[in-house]
Formats: sequence, structure tokens, C-alpha cells
Amino acid sequence: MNNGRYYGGCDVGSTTGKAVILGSEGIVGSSLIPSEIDPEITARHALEKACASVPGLEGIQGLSYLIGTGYGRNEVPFASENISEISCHAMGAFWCDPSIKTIVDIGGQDMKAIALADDGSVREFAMNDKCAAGTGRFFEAMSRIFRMDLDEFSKLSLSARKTIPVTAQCSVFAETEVISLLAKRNPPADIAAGIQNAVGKRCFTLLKRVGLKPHLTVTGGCAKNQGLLMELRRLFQIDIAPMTVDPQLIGALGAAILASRKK
Amino acid sequence: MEKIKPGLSDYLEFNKYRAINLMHIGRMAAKRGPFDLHRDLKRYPWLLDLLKVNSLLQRLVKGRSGNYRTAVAMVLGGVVDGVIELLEGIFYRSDHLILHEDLLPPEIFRAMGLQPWVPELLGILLPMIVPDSMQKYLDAAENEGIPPDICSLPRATIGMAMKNAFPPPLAVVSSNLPCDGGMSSYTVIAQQTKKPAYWVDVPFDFKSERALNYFAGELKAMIAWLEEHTPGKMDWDRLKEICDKRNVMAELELDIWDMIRQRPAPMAAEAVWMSHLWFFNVNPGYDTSIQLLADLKSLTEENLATGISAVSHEKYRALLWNPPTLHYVDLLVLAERTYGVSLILDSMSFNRQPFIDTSSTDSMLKSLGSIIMQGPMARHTRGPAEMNYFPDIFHMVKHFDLNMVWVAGHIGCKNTQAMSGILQEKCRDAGIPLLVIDYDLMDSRITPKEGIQEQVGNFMENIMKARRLD
Amino acid sequence: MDIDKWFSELLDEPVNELVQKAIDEGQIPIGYFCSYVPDVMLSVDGLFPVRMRAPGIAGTELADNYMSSVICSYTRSLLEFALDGRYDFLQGWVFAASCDHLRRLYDNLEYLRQPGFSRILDVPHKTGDAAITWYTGELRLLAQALADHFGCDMSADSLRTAIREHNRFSAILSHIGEHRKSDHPVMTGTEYHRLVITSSSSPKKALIPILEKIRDDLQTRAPLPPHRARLLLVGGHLDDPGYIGIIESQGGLVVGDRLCTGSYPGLMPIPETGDPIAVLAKHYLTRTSCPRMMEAFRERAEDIVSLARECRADGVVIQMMKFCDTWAVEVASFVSYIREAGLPVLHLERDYRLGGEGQLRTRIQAFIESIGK
Repeated sequence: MNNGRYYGGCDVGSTTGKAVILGSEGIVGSSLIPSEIDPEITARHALEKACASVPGLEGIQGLSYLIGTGYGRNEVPFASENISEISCHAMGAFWCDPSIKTIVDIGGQDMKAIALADDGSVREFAMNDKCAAGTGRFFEAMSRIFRMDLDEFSKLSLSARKTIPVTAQCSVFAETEVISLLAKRNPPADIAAGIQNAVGKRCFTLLKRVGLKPHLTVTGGCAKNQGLLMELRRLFQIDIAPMTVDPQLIGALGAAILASRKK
Repeated sequence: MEKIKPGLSDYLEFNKYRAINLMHIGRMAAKRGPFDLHRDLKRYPWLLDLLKVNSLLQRLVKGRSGNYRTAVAMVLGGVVDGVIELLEGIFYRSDHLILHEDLLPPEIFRAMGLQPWVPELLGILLPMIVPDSMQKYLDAAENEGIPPDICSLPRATIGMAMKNAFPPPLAVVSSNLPCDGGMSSYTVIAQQTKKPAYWVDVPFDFKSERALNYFAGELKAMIAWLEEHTPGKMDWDRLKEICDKRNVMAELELDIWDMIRQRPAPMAAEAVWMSHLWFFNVNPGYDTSIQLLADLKSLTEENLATGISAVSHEKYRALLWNPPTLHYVDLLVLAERTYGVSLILDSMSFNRQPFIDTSSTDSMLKSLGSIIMQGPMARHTRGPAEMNYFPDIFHMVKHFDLNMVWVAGHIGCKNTQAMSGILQEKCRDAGIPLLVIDYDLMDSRITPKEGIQEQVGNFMENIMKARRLD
Repeated sequence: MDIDKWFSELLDEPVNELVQKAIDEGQIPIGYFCSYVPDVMLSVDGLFPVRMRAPGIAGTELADNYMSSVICSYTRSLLEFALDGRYDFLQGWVFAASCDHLRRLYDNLEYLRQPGFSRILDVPHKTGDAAITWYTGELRLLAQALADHFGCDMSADSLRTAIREHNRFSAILSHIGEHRKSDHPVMTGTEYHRLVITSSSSPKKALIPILEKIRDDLQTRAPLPPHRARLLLVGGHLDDPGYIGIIESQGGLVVGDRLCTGSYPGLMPIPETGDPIAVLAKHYLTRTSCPRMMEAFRERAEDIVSLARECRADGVVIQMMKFCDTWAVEVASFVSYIREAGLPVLHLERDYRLGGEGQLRTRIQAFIESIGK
């Protein structure tokens, strides 16, 4: 990385927009905002906010190279190029911890499993982006049913005595099932454990497709869900390596790193 | 309505068969010895599930009494005996063991002195005894890339192969029956076993002389291949003997079918479908199979003569289309007790061509081919539907004087799913009530037994306006 | 004339302007559903074959009611079109009993539509001598049935003429397809697929002049702009060039294909000597390379590897229709085999109707990035 240059990565998701600015000293700015309807506006806002915290950087134009990623990446005309979120997540996670061999990214509306080669390149990937079950949307819906905020809900299963399975494959039917379980006065913590288990199993399926090798890390917004992390540890019988930055920013970070490697 | 209370003789009969089953199992265990038994149980963990067969016996005789109860217990006992014999074959004749797909004639393999082993049998038996027994195998297959929409029977079989849960065969023999999922699974199974494999081609045309000749030619080629790749050698006299005995079995069964046309039916459910499933597909031509069918026939005759109905309060007579709900096989017991539904016959038993012409080797092969082509699974999965699927259903309804058709609508059976619309229309036109149970053959996670009960209850109470008997 | 636009328009409707013209001239359109049907036999003496498609299908609600939603969406889309009367222009159709879904489509159509001429060919699942003899018998019966119903000339000479014409046509199309493979390709996979699909769903004779012109023009066409990776596309029935368009929009140029509706094995020449029916039986049975054939997994997998090497492909993309049993069970084994041969593979599932473009783009882009291109 050359002195005085700044590189940007912007991850335009359906739920949140993220941006990371890299300077010679490492990460110098970042942002995480709710997405607008127009991905271009989301990207602009996220980048402006991230750039604003970097003295000496004159906004988005001051970036030497900008890479867009995420579902809205094709709608960011001012990016120098766009790269798939798979490659960006892989790069971001590997940069934080080169011992990472497997990543499961659980975002607002999709879930991905990525297997890395020794040099951090993508060896294999699997995606579930056709169904909301097991994503941030699913957890939002569930926490509403429990009349809790997301953070509270994510910790609920930690105090479960047992797991009450939630059997529905579809998030819409799962909602009905959970409402019914709550109405029958089953302990909410146990039901929450069932919900985490259902999501965990979906991760399991995706991870099996790419091959789970240590070390494993979780990225995306759902990586902050304590109950889910505990369930994943239990299901996979493996420790989850934390990221040194906010796991929600890993995609944008990876994009910024790739930007910094452009000549 | 009084509850059916089994009497003392029922209680004694039940315990007699319980003891017999335990004796069969004990005999096998003793023969193996503790060291080998321990190793077998580790190598084949599904043996532990099979050992729980008396729990199935208990579930199947509940609420049934008299000759009907005895018949059901006897059939299950015969299956236990057959399974033990199969296991003995695996343990003591592994140098003659061949793995084959379920729609190839075991008569031929036995006449060649080989020990046939059908992996799908485990997929059929195990969930009946322990409902969630196949889930780990289904998941294993799915985790290795087999999509979840493939029928759970071949999927579970693939999973078992992947988890090395089969005894190692000398060779693998398969065919294109009964369906694409089943056929394709053997590519993977053959790869997993790493043994030579042979495939038999069965024509779509199930009737013409040309098709029979083609299939007979395929069977001949299979025999030649087996003679080259295994110690098996065809003994045509032995084959004739097996086929002649199978013919005796077929006569006995047809006599029973004749009797169950009566209202109320003197025999029903497992006594009819389980007996066919096991003894004709796994142990055809055995003296014990003949004896069992003869005993079944006697029990049926006795009931008929004394005006005793199998199902105590028979109010409805049903045809079951598609394989029975394996992970909830006691559905029929529940239906009997709750609504007086008598399961008279099913699509896995009914066939149009039961006899073998044993006058020559050619005629035997053609008859065996015809039994398969005109038989369950092959006939019903392949079509043309206007020639086999629908005519069979409506014939059975008429011939056996039935009130309704129950389709065990296994989600993985695409051949049945694709006929659902037409079947509904035809049944509506014919005034025959139709129940389609949405579930998965062996994965209770898709529709658990409560879900199946609910669907049956909704149909019986809302469509049939049935009153509960309990 | 904007050739691309013209070809695209020909694909918009089952009855395009060429089909309509042929019908007006008294030619007889016969629909067919699978590569195992010898379409050459449907090109004889006034008959012309139409490979069945459902372009622009919006939903399959009517078809789902009959066939359920766990059946291949290609067959459901065809049933939907049939129920909407979109195939009423056909005077008959010929099926192959190639897979469960097609067999049940046949059953549903027989019940719901009862066309004037309808046959289902009993295609063996093996390719040995006995199977070829059997299939020859089937094709003789088909020839007789066509002759009896339509009064067409199904004699050996007539069939040989049809074979020669087929070979001539295939040669033009194959020659055009070669331009995808060169070091500096002048033709995209999308453009080529458009030509191939139009050819199978329109009277071929009417297309010869324009295809010859395209073939000649390609000699002097400028190379395409740079692409990121050369890809071999593998799968069963794919009749929407738009799918390839999405792949190529991410920089993955489709330089070759093994598709039932593509250039390989569909355009391989048929021997022009010998008993034509026996020749056709052997040709269609042995060349089609479909997972429905029981013994030939290794040959199929090897075919893909050889093709990828011939096209100098950087990677292989295998796309299969969701709910297809034969491809689904085999594809994991294919992927391992191809990877062991040193080729990167991407495995995709799709519906018949083109949808989920964003998801497809992401996967293709990620695949290309993962192979370092």
C-alpha cells in the first residue's frame, strides 16, 4: 500500500450498507447504515460517512480505487469495479486471520458458506439466496414474535434448559409454529433454542457442501447473535474464531483490501 | 360403541409370537458369539434397530383380536425369521453375496446358489420399527450432494452405502426400475462398493411379446455375467423348483384375495400386504412361505365360515395406493380402531400376472420378466397410465368392493405426484372418495405421525362423515 | 436486417414466421421432446420437426394442478402451454420414454389433449447390441405409424435423403460453432445458442441461406472484446439463450457446450450408408450421452473432460433442472470426476423459466474469480 493513498470497499446489502476505508496504517474509517431502496444512494451514504472520519480524505473522489460488492454492486456506477461478495468475504476474513479455512456468512437475506485454500483464495462456495429461512430477516421476524429486540432475542436461548425443535422448513410456517408453541406456554428460552437449532442446521447443510475445515468463522450481521454462535459450536463441535473487526464489515473490508492491491 | 378388548387367547398368542421372535434373535446371537456379535453391532448399527421388532409387533396387534391378530403376528414372525436368514447369509455366505436392486428376481439368484441382498429392504423395514432410523442416512446422502427431492428410499440407500453400512458384496446388479431415482442411485452405490456392476434393461412396454423376449434376453445376459464374475452357477432344475413353489404361493394368495372380497372382510391390512411384500419379493419359493400362506388361508377361511370380520366394526373398505406409510405403519391400526376402516388391498400387492410357466427355461425367464413388468412399482411408476395405473385402481375398487382410495402421497414419488390431478378428476367422476396423504415415505420430519393423523381425520370426518368409534 | 433481432423474434413464439409459412405451404409440424427422438425421421417428405419449448412462460398454475410442483419445470411449462392451446398448430408429437417426468407428461397430455398423432418411443437404457436391435424395432414401428397416419414416404431412400440433408445442415451449424472455440473467438455462446435453438424449432430448410451467410461472414468478423474466462457449459435441455447471456455478462465466454439442445452431441454427423433405420437407432441411442443411460457414467464424464480440453476451457459449468432425478444423483459424481481431471467446476440448479438473474450473476462471477480469472 502506498503512503497517503486511500482505498475503499463498499458492501451494498439488501438490509444494510457497509463501507471500509483502508490507508497505509490499516482500517482508517468504516460505516454501517440501513439500506435505502436505491443501492446507489446506500453506497454513497455509507462511503461518505466512512470517508468523513478520515482526515485528509476528500470524500469518495479522494479514493485511489473503490470496489463495490454485495447484492447492489452492479448499481454503484462510481465504483472502479465490482467483485462478488464471496471473493470479498474470503479476502476480508483471511486478512483478519490467515488460519481461517471456512466461513459461513449469514446476512440479512442470504447465507453463504465459503471454503478457502491455503492462500486465502476461494476453493469452493455454496449459497442459499432463494429463501429467507435462516437469515437476518428470519431472526427479525422471530424477535418480533417474542416481543424483544434482536439483541435480547439473540441471548434468550443461552438460558434454555432444552431445545424444543422448530420443524417447519419455511420461515413463514416457522412463525406460525413458534406462535403456537408460545401460546401453549412452552418456555420461551427453549423455543428460542429450537430456532437457533433450525438456523444452525441450515448452516450445517451449506458447510457440508463446501467441506468444513478449521478454523471456522462467522461473518455477517447474524455473527453477533450469541445464541446462534453457541448453537453452531455445539452442532459443529468446533470453536468459532472471532474476527478482529466487526463481522458485518468483513465483505466491505475484503473489497477494500482487493482495491488496495490494484495497480 | 364398545371398545375392542382382546381376550385371553389374544394375549397368549401375542406372547407366543413375541417369544418366537426373541427366540429367532437369540438363536442368531448365540450362533455369532459375543465377540462377533459385538463387532457386527458396531459395523451394522442398524441391527440394534431391528432387534426392537417386538415393539412393532405390539403396535400392530393393538386392538386386533382372534384370527386377524394371530395372522398379523404370524406374518411379522415370518418376516423376522426371513430377516434372520438374510443376516445368516450375510455373515456366513459373504463369499456368495450379491447386492441387487429390489425389482430383480431373487428366484434367479437363489437358483444360482448366490446369496442375494437387497439394500432397500433395510429402508423399508427399519422405519417401521424405529420411525426416525433412516434420518442419519438421508442426511448423509444430502450432505454429499444428493438433492433432498430425490425419493427417500434410494436416497437412504445411497446414504447407507456412503456410511459403509452394507456388507461388502461380490457384485452389484441393478436395473432401470422402478424409477429414475432408484435407477440413478445405483451408479453411486456401485461406486461406493467399488465392485463390478451389471445393469438389466427393462423395456417401457410391459406387455408385448417383443418386450418379454427382450427382458428375457437381458436376464440371460445377467446370468451369464454373474457366472463370469461370481461363484454363482445357474441350476435350471432348482429354478423350476423355486418357480413351481412360487406358483403354489400365488394360488394360495389368490384364494385369500377371493375371500377378502366379501363384506365384511375376513382378513385385512398387514396380513395381506406385508405377507405379499416379504414372501413374494424376498422369500419366493420357500417351503416356509408356502406354509405361512397356507396358514393365513386357513385363518381367513375360518373367519369367513364363522362370519367373523377381521376389523371388528368394518364400516369402510379402503385401497392403499403406493407403498405404506413406513415411518407410521400403525396408521392402519389407528384407522381401524377410530373409524372402522379395513385396508383390503394395496398397490404393492396387487398384480396381474402372478404365475410362472415352468415348461422351459425360456418360458420361466419370460414369466419372471412378466411378473416384474406387470407387477407393483414397475407397472405403476412407468405408464402409460391409461394402460396400467388407472385401470388397476378402478379395477381393484370394483373387484374388491371398496369405498375409497387412500394414496400414501409420498412427496419423493414423482411418478405418483404427476398423476395427482388426473386421479382426483377420475375419482370425482366415478364418485369414489379419494384421500391423498402428503408426507415422506421414511422421513418423519417432513410430516410427523400427528400430521398424518390429522389428514386422515379431516378426510374421514369431513368427507366420509365418519363417526369416531373411540 | 438485424440478424440477432430476427433470430430472437423467431424464438419468441412456438409458431414463428417460418413455422407459419411452412404450415401455409402444406408442411406438417411434428413436435418432439427429447434428444432420443430421431428428429431426422420427422423431417421426411413434408414433415418437419419442432423441438418443444415454452418461450415466455409466466407460471405453471394449471400444469401444477395436474403434475404437482415437484416435477421438472420443463415438462410443467410444456403442459401449461398445451393447456393454453399454444401447441394446437402441431399435427402430432413423438415422445421418448426417457425419464419419469417426460413419461408422465405424455400421460397427462394423452388425458388432457389427445392429439391426432401421438407416439412414445421405448428407448433402452443401455447401448449394447440387444438395445440397438430393440430400438431399431421401435423406429421401424414409428416409421410405419407415420406412413400410415400422414401418408408420407418412409422408404429407405427417403430416409437417406433426410439424413444427408440433416448432415449438410449440421455441418453448417457446427462450422459456425467452431468460431466459439478459437483463441480469439468471434462469436459468443449466446449468439450461437440462439441459432441452434431456432434451428431445432423451425423448418431447417428455410434457415440454410441465412446460416450459410453467417458462416461466411464469420471468416472476416472482428474478434470479440476480451473476456475473463473460457467456459464449457454442460447440462440437459436448455433452450433460452438468455441464460448463457447472463453467464457471458460476467465475462465467462461459453466456448463450447454439452447440452441436449446444443452442438454436442446434437450436431454429430449420421452415417449415410447402411439400413437408415438401423443407422438412426444406433446413432441416437449411442451419441446422446444422457445420465438416463445406466452403464455409461465414465464415458459421459470423460466426454465432458475431453470437450473441455478441446475448447481450452478454463472451467466447466454444469447446470441442471431442479427436480431432475437422473442429473441430480449423478452430478456430484461428475463434479468429483471433472475436478480430479484438474478442471474447476461450478454446479448450478435452475428452473425452466429464466429467473433469479442476480443470483446467477453472483455465482458465475464468484466462480470466475475463484479460478483466478
